[in-house]
Amino acid sequence: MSSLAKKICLIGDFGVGKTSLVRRFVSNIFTDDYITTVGVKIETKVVNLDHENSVKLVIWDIAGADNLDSLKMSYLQGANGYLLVADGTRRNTLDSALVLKQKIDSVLDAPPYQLLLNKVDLKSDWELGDDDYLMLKQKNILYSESSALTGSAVEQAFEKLARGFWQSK
Amino acid sequence: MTRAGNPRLSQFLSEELRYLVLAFDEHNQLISSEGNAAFYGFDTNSISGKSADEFLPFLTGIDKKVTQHLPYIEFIDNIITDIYLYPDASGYEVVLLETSAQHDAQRSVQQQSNENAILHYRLQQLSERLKQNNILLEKANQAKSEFIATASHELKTPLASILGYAESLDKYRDNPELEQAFTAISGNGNYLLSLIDNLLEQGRVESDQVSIQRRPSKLGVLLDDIENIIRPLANKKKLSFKVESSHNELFLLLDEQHVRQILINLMTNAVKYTEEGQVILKADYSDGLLQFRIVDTGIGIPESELEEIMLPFRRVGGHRNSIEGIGLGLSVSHKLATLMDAELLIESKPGQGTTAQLTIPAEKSTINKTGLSDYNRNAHILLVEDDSDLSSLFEKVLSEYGYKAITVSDQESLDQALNTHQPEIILMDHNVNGHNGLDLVQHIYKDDYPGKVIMMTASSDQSLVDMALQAGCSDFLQKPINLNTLIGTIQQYL
Amino acid sequence: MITRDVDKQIAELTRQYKKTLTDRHREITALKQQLEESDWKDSALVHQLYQLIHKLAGSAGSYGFDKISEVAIDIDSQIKTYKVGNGLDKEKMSTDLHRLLEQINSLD
Repeated sequence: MSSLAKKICLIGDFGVGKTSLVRRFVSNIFTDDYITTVGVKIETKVVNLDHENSVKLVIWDIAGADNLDSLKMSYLQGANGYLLVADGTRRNTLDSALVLKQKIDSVLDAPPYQLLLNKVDLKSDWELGDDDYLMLKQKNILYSESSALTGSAVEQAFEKLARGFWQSK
Repeated sequence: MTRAGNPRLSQFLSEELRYLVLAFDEHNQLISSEGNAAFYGFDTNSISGKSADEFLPFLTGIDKKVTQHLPYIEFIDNIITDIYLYPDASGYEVVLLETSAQHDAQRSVQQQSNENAILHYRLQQLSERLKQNNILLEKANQAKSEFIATASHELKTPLASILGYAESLDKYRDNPELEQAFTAISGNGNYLLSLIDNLLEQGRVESDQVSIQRRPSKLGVLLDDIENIIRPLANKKKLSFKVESSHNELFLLLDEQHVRQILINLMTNAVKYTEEGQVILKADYSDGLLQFRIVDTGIGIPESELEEIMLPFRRVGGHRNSIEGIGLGLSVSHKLATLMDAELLIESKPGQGTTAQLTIPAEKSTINKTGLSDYNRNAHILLVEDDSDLSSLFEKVLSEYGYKAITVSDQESLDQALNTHQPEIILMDHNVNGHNGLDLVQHIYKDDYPGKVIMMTASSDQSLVDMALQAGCSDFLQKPINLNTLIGTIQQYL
Repeated sequence: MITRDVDKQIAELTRQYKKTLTDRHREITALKQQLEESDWKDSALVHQLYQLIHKLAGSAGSYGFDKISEVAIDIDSQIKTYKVGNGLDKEKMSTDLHRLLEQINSLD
């Protein structure tokens, strides 16, 4: 039996659903209220890869913004990977996500990540168009469309990161 | 912060400030603790001997050899603390200091700010979408206007031809059977024309393209025209129809085309909604006001509906299928009346009939001559055209119908001809020897020309058509001009 | 309702008009060749052709020459667009002009 402890951070503009995604993953609940995060919320969850091995994810849910100040950079220190989150119903949050990604990659030396285009349960209100998807493809950014409300793609995203950590240990 | 200190002070501090100081060695084992461990849910027994990372998950990934200050960390439900880490000789110290109050204060501010920003963003997106929609609506509206203008014209052209031929049967009027046929064809044809005009006018009124042009108009002739149109319709329903006026010889300055349209609308409504009895048209002039009253003994209009019927496409309750017509009449009439500063009042009692009253401010005309006389065969028609092939052809055809046609191709000759012959109709080419036909039209109307101008346009030039109509032209003919259409159109205006 | 007398006069006018079409045929043929040789770049020539075609477009139909009228109107709008700076389908233009000349030829 071996286990690993890895730090991952959730990064993205405010109101995109980072806290809800963590709550769905860790406690399997969802509420509609928006209560902004100030500072960081830290949760842990063990991901079982198979009956022998597991990874303990220490999840840092960092307050949302469209840029990274030195405080947020200090929260990010030592992260082994991150989840980049954007809100499909607000196109500007995708722009923010890409800016954030660039900064993180330059400081943390491009660690593993997952891009989540969140709130897919509201797909009919989405502002993302074909050219946005094309742009992601051209930048070689892999993404999934998630929903903290339905749970769609949430567990998979965290698990992918966990598995990645295991394979590269 | 250090481990030593006054014990009472320490206790006070630890309870009030809810701090906790934990010391670890270089192997991450807890050495000592001081402060309010209970508040953080730590039981001093259970945590001793444990590795730091196990009960302080935030330490994973943190560089313990560097002083750290991480504010506002919530790693225990509902407890917000600032975390300090101080490396020292034997390892490092972690200090937890509760900052829930400051955190909550900041959160209120941040919450408000975030919500505002999101709201602002959504409003911006909505406003952008509305703008786009407006542009589409504008385009659609314009397309609709153009379509209506083209369609109306396409419809009127063959109709003009039909009416033209009907006119040529005039010589058989002595035969009573043919007289009836002639009246019916003529009356219904003109009614159809007015329906099409209504459609066109509705579009024009909606896009503010109607201009009121007042010209000398003989009241008697106007009333005769209307009688000719309405009588066949009234006869069909066996209604009694009368025109009462004691001012038939009066010449007034009126926008005759639009007044006709309103009167035809009101009269056809009266006939439509009357099953038995009579329809009367009364005309009176006093104190500068021309007043028409249309009285019928029809089904009347309930008061609740009176205002609504002024809106386009509405008709009096429940009769949508049994009564013909497209319901534009009153709306267009009302709008046209307003444009000419006239008043349109409708009075009605269900079951007793309706009276429509149209009051138009009108001055007497000093010119006692108009383009309108009973089937004026001796009318002068002026052609302003530089293509001699066409002018010779048109002159020949017009002469057959007894019209006297003259051709000019410059402004001087035009002015001379206007003075000498006073033509009832002018056919103006859009381009005469390099001069813009529109300029010549404006020149003509500046001198108060009392007749009608018809513009001859090149194929499919919609903008020219609009400009011509706005400049005062009564109609247009598209080149190449069909001879029958030429005659039919001219006869409409004589 | 045109009386026999006017009928005759109009027929005479039509005959005269038809004669002028022969002159037009000659002029248009010459212009067509010159324009094709200069690759339609000589704007003075284009204008000359336009004036001829425009008149035809406006009058041929009134005299009853519907087929000629139709082609002339088509060519007229092509030249009009070309004159205000848009492109020209030179092959189509040559074909259409050829068709027009044929139509005029086929009148007896």
